[in-house]
Amino acid sequence: MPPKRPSKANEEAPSRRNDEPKRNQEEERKVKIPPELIAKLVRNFLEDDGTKVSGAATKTVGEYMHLFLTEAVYRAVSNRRDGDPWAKTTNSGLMLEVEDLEKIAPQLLLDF
Amino acid sequence: MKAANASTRYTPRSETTSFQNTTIVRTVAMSASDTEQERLKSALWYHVGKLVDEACMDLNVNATPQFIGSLTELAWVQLDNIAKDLENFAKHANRSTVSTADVLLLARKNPDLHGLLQKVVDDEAAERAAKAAGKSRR
Repeated sequence: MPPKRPSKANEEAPSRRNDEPKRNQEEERKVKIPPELIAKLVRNFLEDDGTKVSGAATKTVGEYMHLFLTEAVYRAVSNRRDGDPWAKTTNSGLMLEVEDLEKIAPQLLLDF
Repeated sequence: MKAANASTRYTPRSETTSFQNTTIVRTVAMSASDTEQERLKSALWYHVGKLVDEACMDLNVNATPQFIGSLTELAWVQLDNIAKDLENFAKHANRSTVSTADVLLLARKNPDLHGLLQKVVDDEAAERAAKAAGKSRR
């Protein structure tokens, strides 16, 4: 285990494993950011016009951003449900506010 | 839906114009790239909204439009950072094209993330190899 990850990140490791069978069932994700948009965004931020991005790299960046965004939501929910994002009995139908994002943002940015 | 509302709510900043000729030219050039940035951000906002809705459905929660907006801003800054990192990684390896190896280098500090991305890269490579093999057989 990486020692620099604090308790919250470690708490989430088992819950992420719980999610794995569900992911495999779905296999093909319904919602994802289109690779064309990712390619445009990355090109927009590059400083050197000569730099190109390979198709496989664009796809991987898309996966990276997908993980980043879903992780943000899961951590925000986890924060409100005492470390278990799947505990639907507690805080069922809760509203995610900007403050929830503010609380998890620093650690999220360190982990990504 | 909620995501669509959030993306339409996003309005570009008002443009300032001047009577001096040179300033006008510069303002127009600036606003052209500004508008492009706003359009890209709106597109990102829309897709972040869809993604958040999907995740929220699984967890039986709701997200406020403000949450989606802030998350979009966070993703925007993160993309800015990683794009510049990727460019520098590629340059360091004397390449002008960003490859999957550069993206994997992004996740070097997070073994879990690295593993997940490695899987995507491997799947992609296997898919390409299968496609190439199928073509050569025919």
